[in-house]
Amino acid sequence: MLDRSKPPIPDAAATLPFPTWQTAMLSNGLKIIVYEHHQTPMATLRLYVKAGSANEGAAQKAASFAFALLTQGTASRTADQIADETEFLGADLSAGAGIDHSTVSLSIMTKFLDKGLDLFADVILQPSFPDKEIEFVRRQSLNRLKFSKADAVRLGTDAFLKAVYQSHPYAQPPLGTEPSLKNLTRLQLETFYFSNAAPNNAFITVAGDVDTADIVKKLEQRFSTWPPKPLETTHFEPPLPYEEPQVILIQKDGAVQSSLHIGHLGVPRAHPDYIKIYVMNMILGGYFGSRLNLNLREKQGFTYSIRSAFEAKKLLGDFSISAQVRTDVTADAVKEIVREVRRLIQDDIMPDELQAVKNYISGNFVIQNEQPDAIAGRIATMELYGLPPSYFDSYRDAINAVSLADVRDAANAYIHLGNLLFVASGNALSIRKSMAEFGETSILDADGNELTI
Amino acid sequence: MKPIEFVEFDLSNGLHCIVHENHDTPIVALNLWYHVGSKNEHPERTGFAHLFEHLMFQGSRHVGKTEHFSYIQKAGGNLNGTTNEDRTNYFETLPASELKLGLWLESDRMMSLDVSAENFENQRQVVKEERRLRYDNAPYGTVYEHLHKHAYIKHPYRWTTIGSMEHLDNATLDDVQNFYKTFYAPNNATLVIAGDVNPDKAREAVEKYFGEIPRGASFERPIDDDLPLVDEIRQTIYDNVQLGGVFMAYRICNVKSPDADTLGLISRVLSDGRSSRIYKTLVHEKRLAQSVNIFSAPAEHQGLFFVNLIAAQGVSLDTLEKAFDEELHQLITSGVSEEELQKVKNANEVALLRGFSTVMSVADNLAYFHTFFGNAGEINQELQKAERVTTDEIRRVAERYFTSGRVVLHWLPK
Repeated sequence: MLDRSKPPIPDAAATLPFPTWQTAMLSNGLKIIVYEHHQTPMATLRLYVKAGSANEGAAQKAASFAFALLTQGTASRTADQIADETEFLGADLSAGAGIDHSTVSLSIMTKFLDKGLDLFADVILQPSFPDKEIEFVRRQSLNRLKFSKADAVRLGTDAFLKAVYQSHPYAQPPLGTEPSLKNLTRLQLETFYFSNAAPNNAFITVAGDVDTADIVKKLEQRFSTWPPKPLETTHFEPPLPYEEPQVILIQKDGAVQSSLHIGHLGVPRAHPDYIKIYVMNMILGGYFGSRLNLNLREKQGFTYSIRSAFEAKKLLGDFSISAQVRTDVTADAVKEIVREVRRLIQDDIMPDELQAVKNYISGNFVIQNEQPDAIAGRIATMELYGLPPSYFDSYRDAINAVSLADVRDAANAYIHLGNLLFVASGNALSIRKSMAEFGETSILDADGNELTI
Repeated sequence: MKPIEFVEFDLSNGLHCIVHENHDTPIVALNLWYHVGSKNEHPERTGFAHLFEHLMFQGSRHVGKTEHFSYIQKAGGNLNGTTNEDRTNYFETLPASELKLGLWLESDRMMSLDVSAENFENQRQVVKEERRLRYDNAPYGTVYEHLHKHAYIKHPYRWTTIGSMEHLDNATLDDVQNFYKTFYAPNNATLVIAGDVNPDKAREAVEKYFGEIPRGASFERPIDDDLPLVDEIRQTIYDNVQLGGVFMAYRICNVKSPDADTLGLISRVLSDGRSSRIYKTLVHEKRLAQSVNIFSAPAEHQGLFFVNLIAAQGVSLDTLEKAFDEELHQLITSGVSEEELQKVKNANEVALLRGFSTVMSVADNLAYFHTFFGNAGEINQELQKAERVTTDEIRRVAERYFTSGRVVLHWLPK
């Protein structure tokens, strides 16, 4: 008779090391990283340029405009021709800007690889930034910004980033502002692109059903004429932490939930304690079994989901707890969140709880690595943030080495109860009274203007 | 495309099992489909199938509340469940060495679900928060609710899976027991195991964990006999949004109809990518729309074909709708060129390659084809079915489904 009272004993576990990959350098210094994986007859190529919205200076949104424009016209192709030729191959060619870096990606069936590479190289090397398409992208961006004003989560995230990063470029709202979108000139976005996109400030990852020597040869044929350029470096002063907790409420008409964003400054990606912090955060709010989720969802029923994260960028990072809770339990939910944060800092963590989190991270690392694009993404992460090339080979060992004391120390060192920012976007008028107990309160409208009511 | 290989067997209690071997990564995907969804709900208990899905994580005889999650996560796996109109699925990806853990957990809740009044109440609140999050508090969140409501006359597809707040409030523990007894039986389920497994060992383990679960009684399934949608039903809705939108639904066929393959290609002709007709004309050239999203959603019964157009600022919804109608009319009267057809077939091929790129997605697809087609082998016909579609077919199918009734919503800022 089968004993169902206890979980079955697992079979012997197989181990799978992080896979190997090849690197090559084109004659102009452009680094190529190739991860061969032959299961599916497809390949994904991605150009990473090591510049994004953080490098725009006064030309806000130049990065996202410039990259959006790459696929909207080249010296030899119109926007429609690029779309027609790419999509006839069933391929996906897209470009976009992030905060610290920007990308151009091609995903294509290998039977059409050569034609796809021609298009990929054309949009990177010969963009023409046509005025007509600049106006098209401008209009799309303005509409998208307007569209987003109806989204409570977007409003909350923007206010949180602005409050955390203050005058640092990471404070920029991801969709821009109306003046920045309206004022951007053709010269500004060309300047951004041509001063940042260069083989000595970029690399290409290739993942999928390719032969390394063959793809490197094909890239050399197409990219060897791309000249290196002198690069400018800029320095930004980090924002100062708050001395007192702050409450920011955003009035969102018709809201039935409050979108909460609670946190403060964090750490950059290459921080030596990053892995300890990652494990510590997992316990707090990083997965379904986390303390925040078990309390606010599974015990209190306040929310559908709650997460905490240390978002680590190149220069700085932030720590945030986010959830959407029904309006009338907003302050109660915040109280429980604060209680969980305090408990993590002050009380002991059980060995089982730590072991569960380590197993979860290690096991899911292997599951995610099933996909070649995930492997390529991890290799790019090492390249972008200056992590050692053995980082993911020893990743599971590093996770396993985190001790109870490490978690406790990380919680104490990197979470600061005394200067949390509490952002809630929703029915501000009905929660202002109960939220006032958490700190000095200001109320904003959807455009970020202070409301005096 | 390489064919996907698998073996199948039935237990004596009616559980159908499919095993697909892939030893690339030492992981295993389990995907358990119950052939029950919101169309099996009582009209006064909308949202119940989905609420029930949540309860499946709230404890069974040997597994306490939240332990289902914690056993899988601390074994290094991940998991979830989803509900739609036609089926509910529960799935976990685990290290290959933990296959038996997944089987133990899934079999325990198939045979002995045990939900307390307190845990039931907790998940009722969680699901109501989910409804607020995805529908009531989300811009345009209730579009599909409105479209379904008008697109069906008496069929249970007239409500959506999330259900109404009132019905969620009215659900009882008795409802839970009845629903469980009726629908959560091995003979109403398909279990797929995909990944780094040995099919013989997998079969042995499935027999061991599921073999003793009794077969359930048969029950009456809803039938696909709704009256046709012959009228154009129009409604204007004022919402807390900044840009207006035109949202439409056409009644189409079920997943088994060959027309479903053609409609999938038609949706690509209209809105897949920047070279698609509606994007190119309405978004890029005329700048009437901010965005367009058109997709075909055939279901176990007659499904819907959705058209979502968000207006650019300052554009009237009548202008936008008229411009769309002109494009659609063009498709119905003139069809597509061979080249355009080849383009969407290529896009379809890529989507299939991507869709089968993880052991979990293969598992989900095998369960899908077994449940709705009665033949898991259909998974290997997908590409050919689309390849067979001709330009004549495109025109014929467009005419058949887009010249009868439809639902048109004009969504306007308050």
